[in-house]
Amino acid sequence: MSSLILAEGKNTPEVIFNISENIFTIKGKSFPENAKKFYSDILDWLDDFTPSDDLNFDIELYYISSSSIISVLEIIRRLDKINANGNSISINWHYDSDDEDLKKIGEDYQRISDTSINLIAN
Amino acid sequence: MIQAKKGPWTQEDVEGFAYELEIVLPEKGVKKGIIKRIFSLIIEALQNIRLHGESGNEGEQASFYFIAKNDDIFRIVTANIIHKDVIEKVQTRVDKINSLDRVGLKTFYMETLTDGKRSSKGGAGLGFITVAMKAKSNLDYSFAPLDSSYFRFEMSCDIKLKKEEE
Repeated sequence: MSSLILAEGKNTPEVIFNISENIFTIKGKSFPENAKKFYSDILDWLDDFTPSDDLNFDIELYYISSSSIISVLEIIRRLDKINANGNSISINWHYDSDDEDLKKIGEDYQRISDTSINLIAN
Repeated sequence: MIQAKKGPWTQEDVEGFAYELEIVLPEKGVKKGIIKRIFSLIIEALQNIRLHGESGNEGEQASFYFIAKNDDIFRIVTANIIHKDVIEKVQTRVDKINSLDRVGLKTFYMETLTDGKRSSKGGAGLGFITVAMKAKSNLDYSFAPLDSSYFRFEMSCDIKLKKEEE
């Protein structure tokens, strides 16, 4: 399985799922008009992904639209599924220390997901 | 008046107006937290126009948007054309949002988020809820008939400045 690398766009985040270096990050802003379409490749990639080690997913978004919030939840549900198969993935949810809304989104995900989500103020 | 535009919107227009606010608002002394809320709010509102706004007689999405500020508030107003058949659905949804207090709105948001159903246009029903949560105010709206089938749907909300900044 090859890594997934997507460059940051004007309204889409940089995505690095680097298998060989065990780096998994989604970083930048996310407000594409069609979030479902943008995130479909990422979700497809995760459907085929079986980690060999414990790992962290780092998600650091400066802006996130409501439709992207749903797409990120779909990513987290994929990680829940991978964890249910005996793996250990945790998520680091990074947010600006003065952005209460982004912190709350991370807390919402904590409530919904079985995956360990660490809230990290930058 | 800070920004205003009428006519159709491209996704590039939406981004351009949003990013311009990141430049203009700090010059007016607006704090970063409020700028981020306004940025997120207008992305939702303008993408909503692009997704759901009907076209006028000239074949383009007729709409308008403006954001204005006085000492106390930002007011954000959008308008687009909608078909009469969807008025009841829109009105029911906005009335429900306006009827909820902060806790109730959060509960409704969480229910909609976890429901996760998307429309054929990619929306998921979080747009109006997000606008109300970002504004922390009710959504004022009106429908005005344009002809026998189409109406102008105007929506406005305020973001208070003083409460946030004092």
